[in-house]
Amino acid sequence: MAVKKFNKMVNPEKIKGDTRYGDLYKPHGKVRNRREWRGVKDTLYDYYRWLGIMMTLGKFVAVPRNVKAMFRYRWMANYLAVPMMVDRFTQGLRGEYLRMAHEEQDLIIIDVAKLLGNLFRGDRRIGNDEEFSKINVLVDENEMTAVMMGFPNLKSTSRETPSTYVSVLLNQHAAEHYIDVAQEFGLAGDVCPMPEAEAGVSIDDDAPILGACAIQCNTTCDGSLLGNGVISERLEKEDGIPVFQLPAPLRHKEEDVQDYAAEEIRRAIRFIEEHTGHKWDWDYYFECARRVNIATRCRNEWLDMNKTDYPQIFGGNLALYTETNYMAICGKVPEFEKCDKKLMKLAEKAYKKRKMAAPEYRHRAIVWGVQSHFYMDFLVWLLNCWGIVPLTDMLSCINTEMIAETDTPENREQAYYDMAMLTEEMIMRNRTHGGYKVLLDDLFEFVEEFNADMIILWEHITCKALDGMHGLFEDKARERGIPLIWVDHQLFDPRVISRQGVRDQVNQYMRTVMQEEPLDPTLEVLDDENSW
Amino acid sequence: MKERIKKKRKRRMRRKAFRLLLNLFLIVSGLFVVTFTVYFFNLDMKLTSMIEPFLLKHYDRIERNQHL
Ligand code: SF4
Repeated sequence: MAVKKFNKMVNPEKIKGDTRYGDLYKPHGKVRNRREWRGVKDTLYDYYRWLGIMMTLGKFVAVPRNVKAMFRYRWMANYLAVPMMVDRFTQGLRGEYLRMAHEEQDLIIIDVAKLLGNLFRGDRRIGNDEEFSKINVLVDENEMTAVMMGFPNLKSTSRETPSTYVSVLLNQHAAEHYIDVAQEFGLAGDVCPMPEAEAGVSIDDDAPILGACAIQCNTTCDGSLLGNGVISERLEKEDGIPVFQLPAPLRHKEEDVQDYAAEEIRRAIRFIEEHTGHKWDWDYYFECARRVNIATRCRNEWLDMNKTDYPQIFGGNLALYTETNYMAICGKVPEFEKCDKKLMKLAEKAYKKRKMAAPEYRHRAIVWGVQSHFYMDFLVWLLNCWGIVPLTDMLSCINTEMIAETDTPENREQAYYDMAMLTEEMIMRNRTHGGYKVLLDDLFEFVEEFNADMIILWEHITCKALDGMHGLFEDKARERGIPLIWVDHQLFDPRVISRQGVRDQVNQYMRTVMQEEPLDPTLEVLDDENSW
Repeated sequence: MKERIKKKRKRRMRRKAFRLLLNLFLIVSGLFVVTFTVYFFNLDMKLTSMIEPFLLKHYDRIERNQHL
């Protein structure tokens, strides 16, 4: 079988400003020497958005209880790195691509700041606003928040999102302390570090205490059952917060599990009503459902665009936004609808002008598997260092179907099935579980559809769900003549495989197998082990 | 006579407005120079990276009810 080849595309437009991005790194440093020069217009734009981020952070620290929380919770120290996270994700971006990144990330920052504000307001240790605490329903980090789409006056509040998920995005070392604490207390060292770190936060007595009740979900897999068990023990027995276990079927493609899944959704809603005194509101549900559909339509169009020669919303711009908008927001925040539309406009504008985000596109890749969370900006690196375009990643390949959005008696019944479908098919578990087709066969269908000539396959070494298929991925790629690069990592723990360890696997493959030279050689080896 | 006083007043007003605009311009450009320097040379991140070790030491000293 001949190896599939893609004819490299050269950007007719010169990239303005810096192009040797590795020079901006301070050897062994936590932060970079200076920010990127992107030409006058784009540097000023980036500066203006930086001012906006500073305003958001300024408003946040102007509230005394937030400062108090900063001195109480270890994971809050990671928020010192917020502007740097944006710099990492916008590396090399110009014009529309830079604007898309800021539209998304600045909104996510505002949303997380709101979430933190709510947590500390209700937290018994910090704000202790009891009335406010009663309108909070705790949800997991990796949980689809669909069961909250009918409660306009309640808040779905995740403690794990800011303490572990966002923290690791901000600082690659953020979860290490909590992983160690969990292991000191006897939890196994070879489980997925994501639920383990979340359990570690609870064991370390470092989670805010608030809420009328909590909904835990077996998302994303059996790994999260481990974490949830530890967390709910403390919530129920010590903090007196009742917990509902929402067991969404893992074999989500099977017809015969759907009635059961819908029934679990009904039970979860009843549980919330019972413990908060708030009633399910169908008007609000269908309003949220309409927004979920807008997000799905936009995402489908972006993915269609990425199948052409001129992909627009891809890589970091696609991955981070999809995760937030799909799961945590789930139609509940109108600002995200506005953002979807703005992104659509920017993408269409760039597409019409046949814009490219890098000096060269050498390979079109599908990025599969569960990506290393401590190095999410690896997608940006792939493009800048080797000219590999990450057309889509596995976690962005989620629901493409519309859900019922008009209020009719039939649709009220259908809504339970829609919420069940969203919950079952939430990010990660929709691929890591559900059988051979969704994990293996679909990948090679996407390779065809997106006209990709390369697969980057993340191998999260403690995710048993994926590792079992290693040989099958290799066989299929060989059959089809698709170069497949394995990239090992351990999700939340860069002590096991560092960021350079991740990069080396691509560097070696590109130099030895593909016999290519990097687009930006300064990015090949970076001394960023100490970096945030 | 009245005309001259009027003209004088006008001139004074104009000078005042000019001075106000000049001051505003100086303040805005001063702010721009300072914030842009902070932005471009990453001084905000350099400062916060120096704060982090003190915070971490502080967290280690907090009494915690650690248990499963
Ligand atoms: S990475 Fe794998 S083990 Fe970890 S939560 Fe996801 S599916 Fe489970």
